[in-house]
Amino acid sequence: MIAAIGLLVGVVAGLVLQPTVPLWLQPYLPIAVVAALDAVFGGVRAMLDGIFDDRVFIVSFLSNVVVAALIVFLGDHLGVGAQLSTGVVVVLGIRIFSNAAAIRRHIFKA
Amino acid sequence: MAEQKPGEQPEDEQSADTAPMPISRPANPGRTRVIRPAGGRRPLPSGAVPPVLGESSGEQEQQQRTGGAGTSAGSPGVGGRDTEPGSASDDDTLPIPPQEPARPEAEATRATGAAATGPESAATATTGTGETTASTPSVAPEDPAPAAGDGAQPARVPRPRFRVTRFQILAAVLLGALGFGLVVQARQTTSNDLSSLSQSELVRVLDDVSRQSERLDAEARTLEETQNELQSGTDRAAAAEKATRERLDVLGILAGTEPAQGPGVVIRIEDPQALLDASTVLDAVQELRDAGAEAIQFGQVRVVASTSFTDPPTGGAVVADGLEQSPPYRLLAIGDPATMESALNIPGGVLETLHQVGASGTVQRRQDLEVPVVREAVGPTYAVPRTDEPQD
Repeated sequence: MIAAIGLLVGVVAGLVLQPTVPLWLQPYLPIAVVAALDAVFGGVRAMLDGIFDDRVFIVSFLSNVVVAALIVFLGDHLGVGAQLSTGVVVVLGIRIFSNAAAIRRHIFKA
Repeated sequence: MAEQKPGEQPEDEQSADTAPMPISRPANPGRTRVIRPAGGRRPLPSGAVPPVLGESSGEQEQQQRTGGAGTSAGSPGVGGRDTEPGSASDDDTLPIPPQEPARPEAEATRATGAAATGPESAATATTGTGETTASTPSVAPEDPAPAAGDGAQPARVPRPRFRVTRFQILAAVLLGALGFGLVVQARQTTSNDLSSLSQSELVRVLDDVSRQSERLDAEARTLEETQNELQSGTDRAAAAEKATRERLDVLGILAGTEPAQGPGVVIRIEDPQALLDASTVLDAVQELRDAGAEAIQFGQVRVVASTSFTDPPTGGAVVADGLEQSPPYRLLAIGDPATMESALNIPGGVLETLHQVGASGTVQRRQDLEVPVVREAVGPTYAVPRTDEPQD
């Protein structure tokens, strides 16, 4: 509940403030957002499974974001930033899909 | 964090998290949650026999409890934390006082085992049957629990519902950050300015732009050339027209198709007896031409290259171009007056010849003489301009 409110507040703040992404953050923000989405989907799934844990969620959220950004950072410095970004997005996408499938099974029993 | 590997069971999360997790299960009981899946599973093998069900669940609970007790004994802090997930999953039920005081009780209850197990198993059994029969498991566990035993309940019920913990706030903040980042990134991408493009994309864009620029440059050059051509063409045409006009004037004067005016001389030839013959008149005309006369008129005839002077067979006045003239003859010549006058007056010249013949001539200079008579231009019948020469 509180988390949903937090999400809503964040979205509204983004819409209202309309900030510009600083240049140094631009390569990492999209990947970080996708990684965070992965963590959120995982959290929702865990919640539906009844094993949700705030601590796990927070740690996984942060570590997902940090690791994703780190991979992109490394890739940029190794000259394969674009490819690594694509790889990270693919992996995270697969995870999001599998989590979404689990959530779907919980909600729709199908 | 490997807690959410795709394809694995949700329990991965817990197992990956090691120690705290097992505890969180008994504590979790947010039991509505934990038990519900259990209830869903258990009734299948032994749904009809409550005692067995109770026993089995009791065993499980026992195991969990012992594990939980052990761990919580080792680190009560962990146990405290682990109860929180339960609170999160129970969010939608009732708010309950903080769990801190409750926990020792709960652990005590777990430790006691038999006493706790009784109500616990009863509760579980009820839940299991409730699950199979009724579709409101979240309420079911609540009711039997207090009824089962007061000793266990305080530990169970105190499950905080709306307890706001640091982790929950942190999760909310993180989600807020996610929403914020999501919106910002989406807007950034939508705005689609060059700053959000990667290097290779920028290179491609640059290539496109420079290629287009080259193409446009080439087109501009072509158009400029065309413009120059047209302009110079227009200029040339104008110049040609001007030259042609001038030439037309010159030729018109020389060919006698245009009236002329300018300085010149008027020669009056008195020949009362008509002694003068055509050759003398022709000599006078030639003399004037030599002296630079540009337009000549004899009587009412414009003298040009093809003008003829003839003597009529019967004698008499000179015939010019078929027109019989009558003395006194008037000869008009436009040119340099001084030159023509002196040319006519030279010894042995025209005027002297006229005297010898028996006629007489007088020369008058005029500063503004008009030669009004024109002559029809007759086009050539056979001759055409050479085409390989420039027309002008």
